[in-house]
Amino acid sequence: MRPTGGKDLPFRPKEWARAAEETGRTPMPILSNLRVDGTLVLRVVGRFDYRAREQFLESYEHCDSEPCGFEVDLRDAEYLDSSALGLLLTLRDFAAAKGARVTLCNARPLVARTLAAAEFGQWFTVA
Amino acid sequence: MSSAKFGGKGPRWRHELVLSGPSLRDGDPVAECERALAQAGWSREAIDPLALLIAELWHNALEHGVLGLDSALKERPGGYSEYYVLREQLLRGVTEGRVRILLEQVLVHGEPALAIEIEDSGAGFDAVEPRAPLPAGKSARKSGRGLHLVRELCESLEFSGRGNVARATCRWEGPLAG
Repeated sequence: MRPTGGKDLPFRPKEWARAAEETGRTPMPILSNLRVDGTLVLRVVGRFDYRAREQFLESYEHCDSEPCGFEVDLRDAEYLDSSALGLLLTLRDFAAAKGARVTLCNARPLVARTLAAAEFGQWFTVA
Repeated sequence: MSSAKFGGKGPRWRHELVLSGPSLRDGDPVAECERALAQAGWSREAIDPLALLIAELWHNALEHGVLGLDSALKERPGGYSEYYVLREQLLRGVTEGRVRILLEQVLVHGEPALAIEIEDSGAGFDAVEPRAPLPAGKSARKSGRGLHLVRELCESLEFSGRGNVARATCRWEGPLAG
């Protein structure tokens, strides 16, 4: 899904979650949205792992304009496994090459615990 | 495969599944374990961390035990994607190998707990130190995080056999409850 400038795309996590349940946990969608302040926001839904790899990479590598920062909104992420931690580090490498930071926000308890166990506070802004 | 209701007077609840050949490629043992846990009365909240532990140990057994993938590949530039492309390729051609997953109710210091045991047909590896720190280094490593995460989220993690049997024990609600 290509990010578009400043316009909110339809975001229907419940419908996607139901669809994923019915189809046997297909990769969850990653929604990207370029905020008016120039931050690219990526929202992940459900279980975040390597199956979301292509979608996740696509969501920030093919952004039409240059984001000045990155934010991963984890409010709808049920869990992150170690392969998702690797994906986040790949995003961090991409952002660091552009001198931008990555913020991870709104993590639920299990996800927050996973981020803490991985000592991600040293590589990301965890909000 | 056998199962019995948790908490009853009969045999302790256990659930076992074995994947070999095509089921290594096409099966979704994590989803199947979740269904079994839900049927046995675990709540959705309790299942999430257990599913994460099962997923980590299953991926470990499949990728390193059966497919023989080396995580060091992830550290090369572009290596993270390369690793998963190679995983797909190897998985498509998989004809041999076996992974056994056993979930069973156990008691730890008299408290109900769940043991997750995953055995693979691979060569195993030398037992690692009980609480290995995260791989150190100036750059953030993309490999070696799975077992570290498992150790952080469960009560205990032990390897046996030739290093091809992993057994994680988690309290009933898991450490998240505390």
